[in-house]
Amino acid sequence: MSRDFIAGCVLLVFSAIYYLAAAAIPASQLSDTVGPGGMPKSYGIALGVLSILLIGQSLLARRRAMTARATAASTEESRQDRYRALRAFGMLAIGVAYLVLLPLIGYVISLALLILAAAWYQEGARRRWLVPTAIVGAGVFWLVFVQILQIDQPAGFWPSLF
Amino acid sequence: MADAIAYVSPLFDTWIFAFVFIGVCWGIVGGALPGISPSITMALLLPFTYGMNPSYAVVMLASTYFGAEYGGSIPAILIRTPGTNAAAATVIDGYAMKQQGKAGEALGISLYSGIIGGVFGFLMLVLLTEPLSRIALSFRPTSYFALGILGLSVIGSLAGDNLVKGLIAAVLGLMIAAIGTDPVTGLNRFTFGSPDLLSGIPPILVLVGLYAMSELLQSASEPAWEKANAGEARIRFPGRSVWKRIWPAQSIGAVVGTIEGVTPGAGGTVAAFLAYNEARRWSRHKEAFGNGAPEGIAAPETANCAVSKTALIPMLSLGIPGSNSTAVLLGGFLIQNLIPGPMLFVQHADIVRDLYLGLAASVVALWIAAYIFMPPSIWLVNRPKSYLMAFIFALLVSGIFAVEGSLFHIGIALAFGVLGYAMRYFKFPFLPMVLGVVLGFMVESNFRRALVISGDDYMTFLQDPISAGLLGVAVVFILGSWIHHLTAARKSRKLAKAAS
Repeated sequence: MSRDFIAGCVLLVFSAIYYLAAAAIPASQLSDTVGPGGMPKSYGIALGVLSILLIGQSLLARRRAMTARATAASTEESRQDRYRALRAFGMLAIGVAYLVLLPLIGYVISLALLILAAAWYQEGARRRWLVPTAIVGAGVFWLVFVQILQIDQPAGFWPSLF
Repeated sequence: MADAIAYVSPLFDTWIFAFVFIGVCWGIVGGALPGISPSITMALLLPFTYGMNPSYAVVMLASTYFGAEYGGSIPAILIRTPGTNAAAATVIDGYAMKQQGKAGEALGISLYSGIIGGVFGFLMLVLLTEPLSRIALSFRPTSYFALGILGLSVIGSLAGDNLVKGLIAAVLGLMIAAIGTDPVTGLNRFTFGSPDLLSGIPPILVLVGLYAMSELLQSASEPAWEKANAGEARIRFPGRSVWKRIWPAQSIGAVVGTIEGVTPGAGGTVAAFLAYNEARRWSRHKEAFGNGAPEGIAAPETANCAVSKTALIPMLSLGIPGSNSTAVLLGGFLIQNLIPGPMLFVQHADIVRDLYLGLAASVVALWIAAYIFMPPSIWLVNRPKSYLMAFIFALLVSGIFAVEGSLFHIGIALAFGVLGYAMRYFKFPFLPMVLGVVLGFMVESNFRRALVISGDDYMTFLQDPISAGLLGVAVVFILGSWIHHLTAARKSRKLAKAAS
């Protein structure tokens, strides 16, 4: 299955769900003839039609470019894609972890952990400098955002201890 | 006299110049980092513009764009890695000159060509923007709807090699714009009971997520770039003989940059390569191209720096962003509750004036900042990529939280990062989606308002001459891009057949 075929199928399902959600928007007594659900419904239909076109395009392209070499190449490519997607997922997990930890342990520590984790994850950065860089980096960010720009960042549970 | 004083008075607002300088410096540093495009450099700065004086904010963002277009040439010349896509054309002769021991001269040609491109682009911006926006005074809801459709019609030229994917991205953008309170009845749509979604998804989160966050996710599997030799990175003013050779190339670059800047979808990259090609075609030293010809740096650098100014013409006068960078700049305007387009010149003439002054000052700022910021840029390029990416991640999450103090916003930006990553994977263009997000509200609210005013008469859109004219141009755009895509597809099929 080609990428376009997969994307087309996912978008087709999404367009159907979106259309149903748009159709469920209640009409108001103040409503005009188009109504609050009018434009979203048309977007849902448009996306459905375009998804079908994309699926059709991918099927046509597949028929044209069906060779053994292409299949072999695409196997290698899909292996690399899976590796890249996993690496990206790891980076995303670091972001989500930051989001969860921020209100609990506060800005400075969660940011230091984010820098530490992201730098280590990117290419296993030189370990000797990793922890000092993360601590100094978080300190600089705290200085700039909280002290200079006066932007309140979550303090975590620390204030409750004092 | 009073007018003249009013125009000159902002000259004494030194803060504008400070923000111009900050913007240019940030742009140079961001542009010099391979993989960090001008749009990403600008998107990283967006959260910091919240709560700023609107003039300072837009001036800083526009200066960043200019600085980043120049900054891209530094690694292109020194490490054969273009900092921006537009600098890819500079690599060819820039790196060849560096190998011949002329890195300083190549950096000098790039800087002074960028300055010339910036001056020319700025003059074109001032001359062309205001007349285009004069028709604004007679705009009605029908005209605004038609303007929105015209904006969306350029998707064809922004869609890359697959028109269907461009259109899908645009529809997804319109769907995102539909989240929140309905513009006519005030009913909630797609908010799922969350109060955070009542006012919709701010375009800034879409921009930061799509451009910057997805780049971070992408970079997790990309190798580190080469290191630059700081000793070679001293800008040298080009000698008289070099100036004699490069001025025709610079003239070509300036003209190409102006034309490509106002053409939606073209942008700095197309302009740079087109200028390079034209400079080679008209040059007396054709054989030197590819082997370190100074014209090979001058033409693309003049062109992409001119584009950084002229791309603002359709954005300011019609509210239509023709490139990723101008889309981010448009986001910067929206954050300040400024709607680029015809009425900007009527309602916020002071901000347009400040922007013009800032853009003029950015040329001088580039000249100074290029000398000062060359060593820090080289230092940054030579830092481990892992640390740089980690700090950019920290900057992003801190900046997004600073906007409204909302953890929900960080989550939304991360979600758009994932969407951006998926769009890169499935090869969907970003810009049509951004257009959908920023134009969606304008299209829907004015469409429905016009129908209410006219008593549901759809002919009202054709009876208003401005609306009819804009819709006519939109139809021409759509047909033109459709024919272009059909011809391109047929050509590539023929080539594939010939190859097999």
